[in-house]
Amino acid sequence: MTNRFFLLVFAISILSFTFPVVPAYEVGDLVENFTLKNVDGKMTSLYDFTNEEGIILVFTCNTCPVSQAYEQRIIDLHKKYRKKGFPVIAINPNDVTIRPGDSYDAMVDRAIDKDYSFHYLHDEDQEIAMRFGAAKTPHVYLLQNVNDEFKIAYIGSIDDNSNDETAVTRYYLEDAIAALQAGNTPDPAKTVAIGCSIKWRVN
Amino acid sequence: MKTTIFAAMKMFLFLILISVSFSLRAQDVAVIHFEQLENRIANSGDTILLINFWATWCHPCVEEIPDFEKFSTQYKQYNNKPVKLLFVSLDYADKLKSKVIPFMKEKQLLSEVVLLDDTDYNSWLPKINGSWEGVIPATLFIYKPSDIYLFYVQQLTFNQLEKLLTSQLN
Repeated sequence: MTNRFFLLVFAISILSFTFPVVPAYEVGDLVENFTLKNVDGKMTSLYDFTNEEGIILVFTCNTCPVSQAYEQRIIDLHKKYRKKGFPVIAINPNDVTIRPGDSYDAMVDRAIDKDYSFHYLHDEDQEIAMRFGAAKTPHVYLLQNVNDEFKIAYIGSIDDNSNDETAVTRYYLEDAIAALQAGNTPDPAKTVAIGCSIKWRVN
Repeated sequence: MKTTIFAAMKMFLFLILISVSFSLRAQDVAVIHFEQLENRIANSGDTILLINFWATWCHPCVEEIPDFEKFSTQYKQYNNKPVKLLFVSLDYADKLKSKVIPFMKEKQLLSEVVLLDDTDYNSWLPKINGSWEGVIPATLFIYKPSDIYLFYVQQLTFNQLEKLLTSQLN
């Protein structure tokens, strides 16, 4: 009996180590606060932004060609929407040993070169990307401020053409923001798109 | 003297012909839309169809390609059923000449490569698999007569492909 009990305890402890205890966020979930280092050297928390209507949170990086194809659009989105209460916060989750081009120093360089006016945070431990269930770059999460908490309103891509901005026919993210501004629920609330897999650290 | 010149000219023409035919062969990449890929799947008949979604910019994709090629060379048939490997490049269509074809030449790919020019991903990714977020490499393993339709979003090795084939088609 005691043997069995210990076996059970052992099995449970192994399982809890093997599988993430907390499932990834879905649309409608409230987001816990997090704090990451910004390219300006300062620690930045999500809940520093509770005076905003919402946040365009985008997992992106320096090295992925799809992220690069969207880079100017991300810069433009911030310029357009920060005035409307939806600033961009970009997060780079890639493991530095796999992608040296995504190191903190390389992020700082890129932010200066491309004149980023938004926060570009380094998710060094990859915990935030893991918590959000981010799979690729770019991967967008539109957060809505609900009584000074952030709720996920939309997950997916920025629009329907990563290669050619002039050929875009569906502005998924901007439509989702417009829906929130009109007091509606974004539809679609989720889209999928080809991107670069996040480079997860190999233990 | 005349015959030597003639022979040299013949040789020269021969070399030109070879290089032309080689470059034609190497550039034989059809640019397709999703409907055409859907048709290929629908009409795969009794062929064991392996579809690999990749891009020249995707490092893990590039890493696994030699294993897929080796698999395809080794398994033209299995249990008297044809095995077909189709590489579906998700590079942008304007990168066909500058990236995809040079890559194919460099890797000396023998398997068929098509470029899927359909960047409205949200319209077709869910038709391949409902839980596909868009990460590549991704691979489909299809054998219609037995309703086998398997989807993998991960790098696959030669041994994994071989095991997949032998375990599914027995």
